[in-house]
Amino acid sequence: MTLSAAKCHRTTACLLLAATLAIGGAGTAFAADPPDAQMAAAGAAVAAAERAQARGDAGMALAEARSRLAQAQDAMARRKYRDAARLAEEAQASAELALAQARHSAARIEVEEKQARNAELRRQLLVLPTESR
Amino acid sequence: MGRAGWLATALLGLGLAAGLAWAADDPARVEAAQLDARLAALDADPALAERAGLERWKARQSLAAVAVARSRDRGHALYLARARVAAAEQAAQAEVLQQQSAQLDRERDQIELEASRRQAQAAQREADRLRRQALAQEEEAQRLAEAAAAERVQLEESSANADAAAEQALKLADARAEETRLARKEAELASALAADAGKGNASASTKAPPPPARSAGKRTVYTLPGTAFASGGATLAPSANASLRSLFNAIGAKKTLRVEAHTDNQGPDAANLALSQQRAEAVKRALVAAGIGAARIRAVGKGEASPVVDNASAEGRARNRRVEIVVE
Repeated sequence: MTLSAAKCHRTTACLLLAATLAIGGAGTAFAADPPDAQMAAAGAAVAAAERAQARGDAGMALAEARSRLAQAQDAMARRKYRDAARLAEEAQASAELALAQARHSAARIEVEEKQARNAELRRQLLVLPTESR
Repeated sequence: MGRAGWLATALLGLGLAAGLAWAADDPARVEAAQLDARLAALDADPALAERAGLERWKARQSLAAVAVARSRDRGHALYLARARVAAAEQAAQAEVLQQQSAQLDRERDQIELEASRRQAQAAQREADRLRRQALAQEEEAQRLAEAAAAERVQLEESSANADAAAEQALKLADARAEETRLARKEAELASALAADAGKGNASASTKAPPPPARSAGKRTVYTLPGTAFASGGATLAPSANASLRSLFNAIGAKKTLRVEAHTDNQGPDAANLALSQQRAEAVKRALVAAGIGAARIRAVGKGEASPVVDNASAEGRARNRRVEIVVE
């Protein structure tokens, strides 16, 4: 092997490495900072979903959110900030789904109760009084 | 380029393949397509139009991110997209139900409004009914009052008629009594005339009763009332004459009689004395005519000296004007 061939290999490898790194790294941040904002947002979302559960059914989404949040907190402790950010984002999404489900359920219950209420009112106020005459 | 160039291209190609494109049967791609379809359905549903706009936008962003995500990020991107599409569906449904809830509240208000309207109507009808009832009762009361008043008028009229009839009857009775009295008087006069015309007609005289008697010790006193004589006169009335004859029939011829005539206190004493004397002698004459001997009869006029009752009243005076025949 001549010196010129060795130099060409190194350069190609460097080029390849650089290209791979560039392509692989494109769109992904080198998340070295702890994702505090994301964690806070995730925590708030889960709390809101917890409160909503009293009024309606949240189900599996809330369990998911709790689980992801726990994993995020775990990752934060181990300084795996990229993972933590990701998990927190997922926790928040699940918590928001749980909240939406709870609101949906509560709204359905409210409509059913009001339908029953109106039917009873109709019976008592409109049907019976004329019958009694 | 040689071997290095070929290696670079291959690695680049692999990297690209690994990084960007995914196989058509990749489950991730299948799910992404499903999520896309759900979101499209949400957008297309007219009932859900303009509902959960924010949530649908977030879901769309997440799905777009899945398309451009690197393979190692795809799982995470898909997780987010899955959650956000579901959340958008839930939010849309919830908004529809909330609108329904508001509509049910308005419905309830309408029901209550209708009920109170009907109640007011019923109350109005009841008030009208009571008003009509009260009017009818008033009219009935009026009618009864008028009927009672008419009855009262009728009663008054009929009682007035009855009074008038009674009065009529009384007048009639009085007239009849007067008629009878006059007829009797006529008959007496007629009989008196007959008696004067033929003295000693016994059949007419014995029909009169003797004068009323009372006993005074061993004697009996017969009293002729003042009507035996006309006022101020000394002529015996025919009826007195007849009753004296009856007296004679009752006591017989053997008795001794004292005739005492009295007057009331009207007029002078002397005149009364003289009158009473004349009357006593008239009675004596009648008794003698009946059949008693004159020697047996003593006639005395007492005047107003011996009244039996007070002369103050007309009745008293009438009673004092008398002739007493004392049979010894």
